[in-house]
Amino acid sequence: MNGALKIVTLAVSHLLVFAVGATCVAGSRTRAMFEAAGRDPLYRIGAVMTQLTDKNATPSLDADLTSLSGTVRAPATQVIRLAALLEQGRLNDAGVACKALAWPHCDPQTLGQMRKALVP
Amino acid sequence: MPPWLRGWLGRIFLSHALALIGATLAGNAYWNAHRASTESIVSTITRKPLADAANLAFRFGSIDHARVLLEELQRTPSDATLVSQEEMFNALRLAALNGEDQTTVADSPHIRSASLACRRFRTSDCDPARLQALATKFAQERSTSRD
Repeated sequence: MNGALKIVTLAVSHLLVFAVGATCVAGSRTRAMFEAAGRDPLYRIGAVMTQLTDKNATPSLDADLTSLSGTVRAPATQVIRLAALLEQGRLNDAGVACKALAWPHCDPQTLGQMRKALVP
Repeated sequence: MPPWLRGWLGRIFLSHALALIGATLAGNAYWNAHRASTESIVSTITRKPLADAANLAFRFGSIDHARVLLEELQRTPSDATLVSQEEMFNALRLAALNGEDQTTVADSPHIRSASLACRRFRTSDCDPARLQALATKFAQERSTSRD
């Protein structure tokens, strides 16, 4: 191998080690942050609502809401459930959840307006 | 220096190790420079269920439910750059629930806290009278949604 080729090969291999190393470090830090956030049931519900995560890839909505009940007051978890059901387009289940909250209007038209307020 | 590091192969190994150390430092520096935006994304996703639920409860639910949700949202930690605006809107919604849009500004704790939150992200248009008018709009939005 002649001298010039040696220098180019060395430069490329150093650049490759540097680029791969830096990407791995930054990527692993970002991944660690999202993994830590994923332990929070509110984050998991939010990720499903924003369709960042497939709803089948995370614990069920009810399991997450149960684990939330220790930190968030009772009606809040039920309203979050209603919001999640509306965003998933499960209007029949949302109607049941709305009636359980004893809200004044739970008819299909109002549920449609609620969904529109969440998913413009 | 061990003998295996003295040859050209050893020098190549050492220089690659140095490149790797440099890469670790650069990766960490890049992460620290962009950490705020990642935290902002995580915070927005975490707040979304409560923010949506508070929005629903305020527009369609009972006063008690709306108040609980808005207070829960205020308690949830969030990213500093986004929080002030949301904090202002929450305070204005709480003011609308309490009927503070109909009282004098001096008797209105939520209009005052909305004004404080407003000043953190704006330099103008934060006077209490304007915010009170905004709270009235929120109250109208609530009554329209419930008709």
